[in-house]
Amino acid sequence: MRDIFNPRSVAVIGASADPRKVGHGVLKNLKDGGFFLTKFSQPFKGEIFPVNLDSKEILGLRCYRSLLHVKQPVDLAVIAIPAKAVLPVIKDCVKKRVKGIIIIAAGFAETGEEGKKLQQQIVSVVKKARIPLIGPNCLGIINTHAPLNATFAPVMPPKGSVAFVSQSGALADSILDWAVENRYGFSKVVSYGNSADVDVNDILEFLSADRETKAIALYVEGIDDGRRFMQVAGRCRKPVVVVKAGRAEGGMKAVGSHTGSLAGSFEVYRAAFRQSGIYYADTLQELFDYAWMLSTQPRLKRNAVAVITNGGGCGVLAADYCEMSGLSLAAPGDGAFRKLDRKMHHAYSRRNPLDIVGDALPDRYEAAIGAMLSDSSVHGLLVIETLQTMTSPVENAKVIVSARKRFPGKPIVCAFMGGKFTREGKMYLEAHGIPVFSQLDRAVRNLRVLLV
Amino acid sequence: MLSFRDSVKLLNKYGIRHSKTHIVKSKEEAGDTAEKLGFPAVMKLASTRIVHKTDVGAVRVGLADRQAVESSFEHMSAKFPGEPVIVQHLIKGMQLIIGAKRDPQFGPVVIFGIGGIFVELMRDVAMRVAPLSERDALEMMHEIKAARFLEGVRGRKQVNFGKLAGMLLGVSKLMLGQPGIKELDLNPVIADDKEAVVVDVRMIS
Repeated sequence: MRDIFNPRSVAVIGASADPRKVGHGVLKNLKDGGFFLTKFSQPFKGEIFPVNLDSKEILGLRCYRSLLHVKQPVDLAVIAIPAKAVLPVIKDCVKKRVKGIIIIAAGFAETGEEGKKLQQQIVSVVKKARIPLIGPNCLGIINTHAPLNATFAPVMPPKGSVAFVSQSGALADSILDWAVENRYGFSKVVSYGNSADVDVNDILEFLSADRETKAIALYVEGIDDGRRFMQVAGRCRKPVVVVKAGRAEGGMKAVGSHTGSLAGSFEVYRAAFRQSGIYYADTLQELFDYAWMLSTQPRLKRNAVAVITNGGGCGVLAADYCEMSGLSLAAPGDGAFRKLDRKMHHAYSRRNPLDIVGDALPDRYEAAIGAMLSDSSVHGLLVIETLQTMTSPVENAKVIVSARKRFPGKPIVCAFMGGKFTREGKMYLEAHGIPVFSQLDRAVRNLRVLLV
Repeated sequence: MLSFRDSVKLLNKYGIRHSKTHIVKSKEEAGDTAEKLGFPAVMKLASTRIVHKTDVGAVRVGLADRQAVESSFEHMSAKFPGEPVIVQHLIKGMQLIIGAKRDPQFGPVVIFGIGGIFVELMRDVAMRVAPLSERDALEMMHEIKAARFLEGVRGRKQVNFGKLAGMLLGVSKLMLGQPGIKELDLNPVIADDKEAVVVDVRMIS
């Protein structure tokens, strides 16, 4: 697996000069680090060998008639040709002793008996040769830290510490575009398609030991070996967040017992996730929110949080949302407030939620955050900022980032409420690993996720 | 589907307590049995064919005396000729459901819920993939939405969580030890502060 994600050379079988073809996308992503180029695009630094019978040169790279015409060693083979033509190429891969294979093409087990047979033939060849195979019917893989973009995805995502593992390739494409827009960083992106050989369990095992990955976001439709999945996920050293599609299926079928009708497939998945310590997300937004929290923040060790706000109304709303999501407000000791009395506006709330009043400048945020996080009854913090004329989002963000360093054991989440004139402060927080949201309820729910 | 007798035998093997139950062949035997077990009595079909027995009038509860038992026997044997009829002593307590099935991906799973509308209408059940730990079993009972109901409301005492946990663990072991059993319903299980007893069982093999 390590070789698939960190190859020194890659061959693209079915490389094409035609931008409408998948084989063009793969080659361009490798060469330029993206089909559409952004500041996050990172070209592959090793050797790239396009393989195509009819071309001499594509995208300025010398073309080879077959994999076996390449003289140099090839670590990774990405196969972007129609299903029917794949088997002979796999045999070339074995001869060439590649260290990993990705089959992009669809038209295998997902299409019926014939495709299934073809897939089985391929699997038996690669298993015998002990070459790991990802796919078929997948988007490919990205390692932002290598860097390697061996996909036909439209863009390369920013570098980060969340690994995204997806059974669906098309979904992953859109998430990558979203990630570029929202500066959401990924360590690895793996679209595993039919998982004919390497399956979701193998990928989780690999990511569990991956130094660049701090949390795993997983999209699944179905898991074949549920029992092994529970073992692997239970042992995984990184937090795993999952979205499971297909809750409407089954479950309602007429069956012979009460239990049969109550324990539909989706409910069983949820029970299994829970028993394996997997975080469950209802939506894709939650999936990436939770993974962001878990990859950047320490856990909330006790159910006792403090809320700091420069707007009274938002403090009350935040307390409501805490109650709704099962979070308790901490009761800091009088000592914490005595420290603050001299520094605060005389109308400050002197209790949790701590309202430091609308005209709060960064120094008040700094004092309040320090007082709350150093209090032993407080185990996590929500910092709310509303935008007043004297508010400085960027300076407030800096204060929060420095508090993060001084109190590494307690999670911090921010709700910077606003838009255009709050954006720069939010970006500063994001860039320094502090999750920040525009919506209060979303910030509270995300703090709740960290509760042990 | 397993016969009533075989089902109860399996429950016994895994230490799961079933209420004292007798299959009766005549109205005299029904009356004698009810007198021996004590009133009020419950009568129902031990049918392997009917799932929702209450809906078709195949269950009669709160039979106060011999006469009520005998006339119920006559009524049921006329309506469902050839089906075995059973007599039990009516046990009071909270009606619960414990069940298990085999999932194609995850293998045996065990469910727990409060019987009646909580399960039927609200689908308020907790579930675990077997094998269960004792902690799983206790968590399941506290995780259903109506969990406070089990803790005793309006003068009723809290159910015996330990006994129920034991029953859940027994079902988990049964499913792992008996691969031939596909699904099972213990419905209802009746529990109070002292005991937890299976009153009806269906096992599908």
